[in-house]
Amino acid sequence: MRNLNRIVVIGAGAAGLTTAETLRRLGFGGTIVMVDAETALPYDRPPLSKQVLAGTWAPEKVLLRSPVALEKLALDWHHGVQASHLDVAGHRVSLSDGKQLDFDVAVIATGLSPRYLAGGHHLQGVFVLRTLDDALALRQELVAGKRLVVVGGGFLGLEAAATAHQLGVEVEVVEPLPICLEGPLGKTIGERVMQLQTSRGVRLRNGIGVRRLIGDQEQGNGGSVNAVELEDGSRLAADVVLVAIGAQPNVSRLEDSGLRLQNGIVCNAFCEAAPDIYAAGDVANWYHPHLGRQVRLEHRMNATEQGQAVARNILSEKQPFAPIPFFWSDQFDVKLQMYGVASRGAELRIVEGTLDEDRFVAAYYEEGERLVAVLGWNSPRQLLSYRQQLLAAYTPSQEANAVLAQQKVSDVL
Amino acid sequence: MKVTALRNRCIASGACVLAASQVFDQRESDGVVELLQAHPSLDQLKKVQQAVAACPSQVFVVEEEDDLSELTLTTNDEEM
Repeated sequence: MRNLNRIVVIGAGAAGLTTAETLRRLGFGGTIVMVDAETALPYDRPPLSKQVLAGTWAPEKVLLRSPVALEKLALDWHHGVQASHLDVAGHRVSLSDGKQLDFDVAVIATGLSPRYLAGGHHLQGVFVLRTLDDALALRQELVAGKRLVVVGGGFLGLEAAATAHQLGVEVEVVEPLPICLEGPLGKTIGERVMQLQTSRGVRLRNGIGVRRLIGDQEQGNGGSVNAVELEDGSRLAADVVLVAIGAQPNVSRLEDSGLRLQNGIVCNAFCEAAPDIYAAGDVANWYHPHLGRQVRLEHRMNATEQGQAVARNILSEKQPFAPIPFFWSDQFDVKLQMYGVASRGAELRIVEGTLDEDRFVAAYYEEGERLVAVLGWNSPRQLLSYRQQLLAAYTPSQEANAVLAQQKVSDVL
Repeated sequence: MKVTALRNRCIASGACVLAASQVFDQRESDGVVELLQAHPSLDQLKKVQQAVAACPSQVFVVEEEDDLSELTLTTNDEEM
């Protein structure tokens, strides 16, 4: 077993920090260098659209680890810098401040950046929601009686809509798809989420997109936002606009690295992108052995699980990473959780409760009786037994593992 | 090792239950973490450590982590 002395982790969000922490937990005593684009201490994102936006949690509460706990990990930090160039063969990464870091192994956990509309973001009162600063700034604007238009009815947009509504803000969400969340949840549950939102007073405009944002000066091109113009020319009055139209992987500095970049960083089943280069978290597009395809998850749970898997693969015999995807979404008084992945054509069955109730469990089946996913609506405890069923399907057979063990990282490039 | 579960951070993922099902359970009403034992035997140590690591919501605070002579678990519902 070769000697590992220096591991560089690029990105200090949940995935990067979990990788570092797991390396220590497994006994790695060498140097771990953290390259962190942000300057604040590492923090958790899910509460940003919920408790932080609502103002019920002070910002300190979202720290991923206390300063004391971080000290104990004995990491070498570079804050407020990004990787500017990755020399894969040379095992060296250059930073935006000019420094160069040699490594035995590098882990790329650079996460995502929010997508922007083509214009309008220079207007006052227009926000995206990715960072703690974004959440704190938007929170200041969410005052009872104001009108918020949310562009994009995905999980982030709907969570923020629910939070804002509960602060007394008038909320309207604009979403091009006819049914919100149809991709991850299917038509029926997507509609049930829409019904939850509208029954509480959030307005939903589906099936139409936003043409532009309009300000109160310079013939609409400047000042503070006061309207959102839709594709049909109609306008929604707005005091505040949240643009929540998705995010893209942070890979722009890796274009000349030789790594395969397609929907994030392409990795094999062991989360390797190249010899001695791994990826973890939102940025990793790895081969999922059970799903049989490349997968990139933007789930908080995956940041933890993949960070742990990468650390294990660095230090010991590589294992294929085949997690049961898991995510949650909290909207109003509903805790929505899902295990597994359902395709478009999956059949939905309500297996506990009914859609009309405030708690139920929905199971997704493909090809008749094959359970592929399960969703809990205010039913966290009830999901575990269905998860056990999924686990049986997700656990690779010995034959499958043997095939995977042959998969060289060079297959990825 | 002392582990405290800050329950108002819990998002009911069940990750701790999956890691250490003899130590953790979820409340029937809302799925929030519940302790099955306050003083688990030391053979649960690794599983409890994995539960702490697996939680996606930083619920668990660990103290005296170098004292592996006993394992004490508590919950805290007041943390603001």
